[in-house]
Amino acid sequence: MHRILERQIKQYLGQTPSISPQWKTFLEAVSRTYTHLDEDRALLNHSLDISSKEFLENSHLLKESRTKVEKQAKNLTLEVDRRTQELNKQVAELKEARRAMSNLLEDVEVEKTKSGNLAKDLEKFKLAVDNVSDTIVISDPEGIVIYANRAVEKVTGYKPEEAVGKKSGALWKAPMSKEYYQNLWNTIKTQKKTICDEIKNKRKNGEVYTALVTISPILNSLGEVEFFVAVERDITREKEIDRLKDEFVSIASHELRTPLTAIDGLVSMIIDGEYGPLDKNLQQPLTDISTSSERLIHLVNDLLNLSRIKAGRMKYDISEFSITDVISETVQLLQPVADRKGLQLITSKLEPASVLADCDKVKEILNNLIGNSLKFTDRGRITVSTKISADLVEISVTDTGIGISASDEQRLFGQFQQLDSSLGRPAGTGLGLHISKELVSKMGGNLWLAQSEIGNGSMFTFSLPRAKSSLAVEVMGEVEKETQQHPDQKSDTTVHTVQYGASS
Amino acid sequence: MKKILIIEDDEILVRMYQKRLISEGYDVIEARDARTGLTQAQTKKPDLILLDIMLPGGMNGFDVLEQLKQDESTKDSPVLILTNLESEEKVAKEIGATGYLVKVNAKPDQVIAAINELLANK
Repeated sequence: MHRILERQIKQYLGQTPSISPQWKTFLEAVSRTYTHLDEDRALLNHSLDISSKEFLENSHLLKESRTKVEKQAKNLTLEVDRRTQELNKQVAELKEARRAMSNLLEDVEVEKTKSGNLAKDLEKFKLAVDNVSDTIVISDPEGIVIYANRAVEKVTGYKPEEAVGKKSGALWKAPMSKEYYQNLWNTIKTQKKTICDEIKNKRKNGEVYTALVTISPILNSLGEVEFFVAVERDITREKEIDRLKDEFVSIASHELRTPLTAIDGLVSMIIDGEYGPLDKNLQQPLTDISTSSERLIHLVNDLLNLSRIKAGRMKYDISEFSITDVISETVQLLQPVADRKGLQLITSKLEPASVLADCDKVKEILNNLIGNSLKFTDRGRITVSTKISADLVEISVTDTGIGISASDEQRLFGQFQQLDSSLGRPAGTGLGLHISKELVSKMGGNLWLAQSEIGNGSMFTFSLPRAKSSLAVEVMGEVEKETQQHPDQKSDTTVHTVQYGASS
Repeated sequence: MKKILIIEDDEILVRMYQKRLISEGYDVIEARDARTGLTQAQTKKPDLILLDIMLPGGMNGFDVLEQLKQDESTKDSPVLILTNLESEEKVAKEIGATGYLVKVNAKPDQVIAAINELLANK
């Protein structure tokens, strides 16, 4: 019997009721109903239980799904952003490309115009190159002519087409020394340097002419010779005029020397009382004549020296001698001049040394430098000193004179430069320093303004090769080479004996 | 009295040197061209010869000097070259000149000093 029905029977019918068999069957049916009900409820509960469990489970899954979805949504947004950015970029790039393209098109237009112009320019350029009076020859790295302008024909007599394909210069090469041409080729081809020189060439008719030639190697990006450009000017006429001018200066100067010798000599004899006692009133004017004639002699000497230097006719009598002795000697000779001006003329730090140079020229240079110092110093002293190095002896002349401004320094060594004639200084020829510098450099040294300050004096220094040094050996070789190179150059005597019709 | 022969074509210079030499106590003989100079040198036997290089008449001072040096009677006479050519000293000394002065750069006093020295060393 179902326990609820049992309890209800006990409640309503007492502990031990007597139940008829009919009721018993009925009660059993009710009990079964109860049991069914229980079973149904249990079933229902069970199914509810299951549902609730499922529900919980599902809700968890849902939660997970949501997170997933949310995450995906976020990623998607990011992706969209990224894609958008990429797209924007691509758009910008496309725009840029379009602009570049349009620029390019414009450029192409410009280039088209340009190349048109270039062709025109090239035509002009060719016309110009063909019509200049200088010859222009372009040759390949082996020296074979690939272009010659029309001036080549005018100057050499050979047509451009005769020259093309041949070794450059082979047609018009004059007999200069083999060594010279080797040297030239070495400079332009091996050292790849531009050469600029006066050379002798021969025209088709055999006439030798002088040319000023510049040959430049044109290099490619690898630094190799691509071709050579040779520009040449026929300077035969200029050379001749120059030679005549130099000869004129030389002869005129020589001719001036005889009367100058007389004027200078006679005035000095008159002043010395050779022609009887001197009238006191004449003392000053005669001294002035003497000073003037000395100045004139100096000028003529300078002009002669300059014309000799320019004509390459200056002779150098190179020997070894004691520079110390020469300095002492010169200083002693100029001492009276210093005394008259109340100046000290001294030597200092004179180390005994020998140089290899032309002694007379060195005396001339010293005379010039000390002379300048004496001229431009009013008080104080002039000091001559030496400094010895392995190859050189440096001789310095230092004064306490008026000094030289930086702006004047540039002009100092030029020809006919007088820096301050306005200050009422005794005039010179303005050639002294120029000549001295030329002489020194020909002897393998240098001359320069070592130090100077306005109002505080100047220091001029020149250097000479020290005797027996390697430089001295080199200079000796150069001087000898030079003498051999100008065998056709006339010496002073030849010029004059020709002039006088005398044989020598 | 010592005799000096001047071979010089410029009249004024001859007169100038002559004057100075005479007052120095020398006897002076002059020649204005090379040939006369050579003859004077051979006949008058001067103690010293002042010789110019540029001379008229087809012979120059170097020619004179060469002949003087070849002639037994004159080869020992000291020759002082007195010229306005500067660069010929080496050549002149090689031919046998005893001294060399550039006229324009030497006052008469210096010429006299050179002559005195050469004669003292003779």
